[in-house]
Amino acid sequence: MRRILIIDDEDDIREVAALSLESIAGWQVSTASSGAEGIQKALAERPDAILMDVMMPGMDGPTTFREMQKSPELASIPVLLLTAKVQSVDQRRFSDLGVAAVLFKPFDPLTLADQMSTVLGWTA
Amino acid sequence: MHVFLLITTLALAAACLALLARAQTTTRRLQAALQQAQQQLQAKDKALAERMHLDSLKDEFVSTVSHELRTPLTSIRGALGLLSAGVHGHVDEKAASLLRIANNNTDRLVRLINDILDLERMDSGQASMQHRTCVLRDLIAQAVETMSAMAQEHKVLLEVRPEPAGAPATFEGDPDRIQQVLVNLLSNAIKFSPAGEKVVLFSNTDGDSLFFRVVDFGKGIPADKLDAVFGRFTQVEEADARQKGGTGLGLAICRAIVSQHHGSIWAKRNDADGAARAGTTFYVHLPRSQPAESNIKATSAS
Repeated sequence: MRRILIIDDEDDIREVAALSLESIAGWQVSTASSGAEGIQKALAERPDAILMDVMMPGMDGPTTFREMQKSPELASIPVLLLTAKVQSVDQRRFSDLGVAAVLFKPFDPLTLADQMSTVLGWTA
Repeated sequence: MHVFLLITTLALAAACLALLARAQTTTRRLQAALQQAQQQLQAKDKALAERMHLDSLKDEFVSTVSHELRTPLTSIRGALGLLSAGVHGHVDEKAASLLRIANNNTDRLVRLINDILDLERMDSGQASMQHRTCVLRDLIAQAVETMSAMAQEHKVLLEVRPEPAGAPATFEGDPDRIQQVLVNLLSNAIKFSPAGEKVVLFSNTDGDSLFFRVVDFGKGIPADKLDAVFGRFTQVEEADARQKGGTGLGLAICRAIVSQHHGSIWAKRNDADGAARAGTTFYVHLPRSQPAESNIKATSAS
């Protein structure tokens, strides 16, 4: 079974996203509420993909992603970045980071599962 | 002789003193003018710095508002989506109807937030605009593809008529924004067309200009509201926003985008030229190249 790690400081979004990926796609989901916790969990669990919010207190999404890129264990895990910044320039800036895809808030559960499938490289 | 020399010397000395006095006066006047110019410059620098600070605060505010509004909407839309998909049990007809209402209104709120923030960014010059070579045919194809589902849903036929046929026109501008104009115009035309009618998108170019026309055969806009519809939250009829699901900002956004491309946009009743059919035609005129110091600027959005 594919394992997804969700990193988001918002409890409700973590819960909705987790339910979406578990119920619709049938994946196994674990969550972290900060970038630092996300890195720890990613190292311990080695998920197949990561869903990560951009704006988080402390270490934000892009910083967390860059930290992960420095780690040989985590660099190859695809990251789907979740953001409320909808301008095309933001999309390009985030894509330039090297993330697998960018998903804009608010998303619906089917789109999330679909996007994550694409990120993982197979159809749900 | 000595007396003459003395008198001449004294006269020269007096003249020199007078000149010196005048030079001193001129120097003082120039110094005062310089000081005044420096003060004005400092005041302008201060005003500019304050303006930049305010712009940055406003940009930060818009970004924060965007984030703060979208975050709870993400939870709402996600929860509604999960319930609607029936992943947590069967949804009966009544519950499905209520979920549809909640979903539609969530979508409407999202559109409203997007439009308000878009317009705000454009007004403050903070909207990020690209400056690229755009292929007209590609933009039209993308806009029509985006709107085809909506056209089907409303049973409206979308027709594209390039003039002259297939002209591979290119122009300078922001492809995403121009497509947004096309989508907004097509969306309005579809929304206000009766089922079974068609909406036609004409395009044309000449040496320096590019033209679009989006024609619908709905009931048309009263002549006295043809310009007002480009205002914010302006609807032809008060109930339109509720019934048609618009935000009342689409055409204001179109005008802002076209204006940033140094073009113009306007509307005319189809029967204004004596044509028998009702409906409205929206015209867009864009220059094919942008001036060197164009307002289309790529700023880093917050």
